[in-house]
Amino acid sequence: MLWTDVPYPDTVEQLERALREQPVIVHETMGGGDTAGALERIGRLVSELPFRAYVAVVETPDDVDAGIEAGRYLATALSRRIGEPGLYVVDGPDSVLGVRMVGTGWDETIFSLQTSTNQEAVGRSAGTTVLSPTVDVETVLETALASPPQPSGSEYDEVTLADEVIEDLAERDRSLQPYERPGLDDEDAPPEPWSTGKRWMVGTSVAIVTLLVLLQTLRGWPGWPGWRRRRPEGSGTRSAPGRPATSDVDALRADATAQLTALAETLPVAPQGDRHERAALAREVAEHLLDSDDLLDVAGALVLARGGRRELAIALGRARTPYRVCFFDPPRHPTASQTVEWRFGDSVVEVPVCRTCRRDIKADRVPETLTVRRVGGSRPYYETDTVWARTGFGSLSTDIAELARQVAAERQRR
Amino acid sequence: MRLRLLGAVLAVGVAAGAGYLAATVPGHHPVAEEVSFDQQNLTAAAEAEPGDRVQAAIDGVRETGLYIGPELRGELTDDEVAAIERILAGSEVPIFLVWWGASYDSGYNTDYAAIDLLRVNVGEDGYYAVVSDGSPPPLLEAVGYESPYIDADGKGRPAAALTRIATELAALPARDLDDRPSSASDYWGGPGGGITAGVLFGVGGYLGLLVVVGLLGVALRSGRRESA
Repeated sequence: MLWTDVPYPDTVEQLERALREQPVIVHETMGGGDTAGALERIGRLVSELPFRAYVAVVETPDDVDAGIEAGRYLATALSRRIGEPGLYVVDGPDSVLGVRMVGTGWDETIFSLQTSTNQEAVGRSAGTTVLSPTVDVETVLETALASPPQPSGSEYDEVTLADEVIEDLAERDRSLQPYERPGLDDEDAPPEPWSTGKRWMVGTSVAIVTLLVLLQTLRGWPGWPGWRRRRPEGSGTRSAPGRPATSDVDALRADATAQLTALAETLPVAPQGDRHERAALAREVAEHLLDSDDLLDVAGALVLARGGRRELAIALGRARTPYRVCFFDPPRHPTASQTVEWRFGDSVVEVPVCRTCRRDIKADRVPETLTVRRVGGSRPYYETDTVWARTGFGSLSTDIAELARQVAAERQRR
Repeated sequence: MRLRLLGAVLAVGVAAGAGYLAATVPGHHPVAEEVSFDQQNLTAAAEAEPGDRVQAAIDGVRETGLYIGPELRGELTDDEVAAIERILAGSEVPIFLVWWGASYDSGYNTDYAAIDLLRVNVGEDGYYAVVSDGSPPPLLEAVGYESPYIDADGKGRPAAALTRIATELAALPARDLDDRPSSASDYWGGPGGGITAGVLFGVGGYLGLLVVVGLLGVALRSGRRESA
């Protein structure tokens, strides 16, 4: 019989008649691409069996509605319809292999279990858990040939197929694997071309990032020392930044005059000693500054007078600690009681500050700062080239006498 | 103030230079020869052996343009088959039409794999169609022409469904395959799209860096303060 002449029965009855005429039927749709070879191999195995065998590797007839149990259903139906002792094997698409062993001396359960043991051995050798339909059927037939019929209670967990048979079946299963269209794999995709648009994208990205990073570095990075070095526009101070009004200078001068007067009145009654000498020195230097038109000089006079008075107060036992100015606005802010880190040029120093300034810095706000007008606009006093910037109005000096000496030396150099 | 201005000008210059260099380096990767997905499929199929079922289809369509699987023979009358074959023969573009039952155990796992084997082994330019009984719509591919598209969905009585498919395929104009490399299209949309994307990426990257550096600075300072 030519394999191209195999019948395609539509009903169980037609399949029964076809098997009575030719006990092995393999449909092209189940043949793994080698239907003729499968027919030849299965037909040879069937002829070697000591009992009859009916094998159908077929499309499920239309009148069978048993789902994945179609193979088992058909094997049972055919064994009853044909009614002869023998082996009935049916496999179909989307159903499990159906096997019935009837009246052959084999215990059907033992044969089924032995077949499973052998199928697993072939699957292990082929590297799969699901054998091709025709190889699956060949394994059933080889199992029936491998040993004499086994009665109930026999062992079934030993592989009964010879090694060469297992290897032959496994090799055939591998060769019958269906061709699959290769899937789309991102790793196999060619890299994105270096197109004009991509060049512009990369160039613009690099330029933008570089520019912003450089500008940010010039300005200072948030969270790092120096970030608050420059005052943002619009941040408030008591006097408008860079525009100390004349009345401010006059107010400071009046305040400094009052402080100096008090200092002069206290000097004669204070006990002699180091503190008296420091106070006298501060008074002498401050008096020379009092008439200056420079805001910083007048502010310095005020700071010196306060510092001198504090020295006398300590000498008189009315105070304990020397006068210590707030770095950011020495003449106006309360005395310093805290310290913070502050960038001065390339170095970071600790400067004394009042509570308000420390709170501002902790809250990432710019503290109110004494500013002066200079060429190019107003700027914080500590960015000017003056003795007040170098000394921080004494906040960076050891004591009031040291400040007074540095101021006096500066005046002599002018 | 002057120093600040000079620094800004220098930053602009350095940034422009860095951007120019990044954009003009000669390719960040070797340019691979572009192979279309369809061509990859045909190349893979050419290395596979068609099984008996596909080989029968190859022989069948070479002979008459129409092949009917053995499981479906008898579904159409000889006149119906002849009528479909006449439609196929009258087409400007050769048509190779296969009608068979769906199968997963006959040398191919899907109709996509089958039509690749069919195309590469028939080896002629034309439209190829595989119609699986009970699994419409038809699968259409081409060799040497643009892949065809038709409205016929393969539903209905077999003769009528196949006739509609054959008729619509035969009526399609011969659209030559556009095999220009797809690199002619620019994913980034040319200079305008590239600049826009670059600004977005650059600003996004800068803002991210700003947050990271800021948090790092705050963490370092607070750590130093605690240790002091």
